[in-house]
Amino acid sequence: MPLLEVKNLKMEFDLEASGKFQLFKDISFKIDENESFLSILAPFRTGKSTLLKIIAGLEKPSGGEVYLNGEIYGNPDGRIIYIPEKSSSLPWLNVAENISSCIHHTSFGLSQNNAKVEEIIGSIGLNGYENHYPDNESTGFRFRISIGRALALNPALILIDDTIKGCDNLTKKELFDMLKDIAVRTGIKFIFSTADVSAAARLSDRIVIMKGHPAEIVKEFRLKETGGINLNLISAIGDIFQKDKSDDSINFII
Amino acid sequence: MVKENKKAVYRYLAAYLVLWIILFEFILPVNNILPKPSIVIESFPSLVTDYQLFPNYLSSVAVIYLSLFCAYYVIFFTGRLQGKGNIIFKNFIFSLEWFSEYIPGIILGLLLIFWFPASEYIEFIFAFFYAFIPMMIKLQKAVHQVPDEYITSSHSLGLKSSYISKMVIWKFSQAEIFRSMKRIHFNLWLVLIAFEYIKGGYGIGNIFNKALIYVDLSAFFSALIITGLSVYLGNLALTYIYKKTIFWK
Repeated sequence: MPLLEVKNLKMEFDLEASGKFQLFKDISFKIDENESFLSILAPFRTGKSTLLKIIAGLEKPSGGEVYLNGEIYGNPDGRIIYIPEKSSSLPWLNVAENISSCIHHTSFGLSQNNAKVEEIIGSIGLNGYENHYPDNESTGFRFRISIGRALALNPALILIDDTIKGCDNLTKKELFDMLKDIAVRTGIKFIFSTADVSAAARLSDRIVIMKGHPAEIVKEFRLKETGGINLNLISAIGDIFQKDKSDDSINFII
Repeated sequence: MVKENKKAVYRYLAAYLVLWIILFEFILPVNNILPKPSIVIESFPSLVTDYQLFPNYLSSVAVIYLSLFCAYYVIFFTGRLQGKGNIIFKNFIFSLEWFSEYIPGIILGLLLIFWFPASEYIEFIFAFFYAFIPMMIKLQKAVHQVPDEYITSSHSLGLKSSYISKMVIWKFSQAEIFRSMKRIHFNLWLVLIAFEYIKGGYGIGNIFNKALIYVDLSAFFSALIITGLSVYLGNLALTYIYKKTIFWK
């Protein structure tokens, strides 16, 4: 049984000016047991964030279902955590407080203690920075805190909404290594939405490509089958987006 | 940059002071525009004896800072509880804000002065509402400006709604309220002096009233200096509290 199954999701809005607007339709994919990272590669305004929020149970779709371990997942219960694009770590709490708040003040009835906070801080590479405040630090630092907050709940799946697009390549590599390490140690799986081909290819086991208006899944690449990130993969993805000249927000810089 | 600006302001203030001393002490004759600096210094003792500076000053300061403190703490407790707020209350607050956009607050304040009878308690209640309403308007605005990512991720992480109200919405709003505190503080001095000037009783406004009745320019000028210094020191204290409370900004 797949950990996550997304079946025929669609999202429509009623706009006063132009009537019904369909953001995406027929979105279906699975995360298998042997996969840790799945990237959703799509240009801007294709509904990546909305799709992730629906999967996390934070928004209701116009149609379709999300299954987690074979059961419909409709409301947040701590098993799927969504990390927004902009920093969500609270600037008035330091690193340790940001993480411990997710242990002590959650409505999911966790019974954990401060040793768990120290363990998480270690796993996100912020040992010695417990008393630092997020607003004085870099995007990468704040992303680590967001991951730490998510880890406090021992989720099955973490959804990352293009959070690290502002980071330089070295920081991205460090963050990807951290995520891979967490995935190996904890078994947590990740869905990562991005418009950056390089980031998707470096991190993922599989890349799902969404495009069009309304957006649809047009292609999937399993990185094991393509032999990892290489020119063939990049040119194949390039071919998909070059057919539609309006999709110029995809970043092909490796 | 801010430090440079402050230095420039202090330099200008020193220049005005020197200019005032040179022009009005040594060059110009006694006039009704500005008093001689030596006469202003001499008028301070008479301000204490003839105008009862201490009780008047303490009365104004007590009313201003007590009302500011009480208004903030009422906001502090209601703000932490209300979360996104009740729609009727929210609309009431926004309707007050609408009025204040077209009618200057000081005019509304003067209108209220006529409604309230003269009394120390009434003066306090008047000052309290004059501080409370702009703070509540600021809170209502701030509540709706909390970044969506804070709320979305809090819901995703399953944070309790009481925790979200207290530690996410209120904390964000608190910074916005504190940012408007200097303006509220200044306006409070303004309307309180107007209240005391019109209604009499104890207060700095009463000193201004008497000084004008007796055409005592030097006493008026001394009271003006004391008021200016008090507002300045009040602002320094508020800046200190802001830096301590909203330390993450």
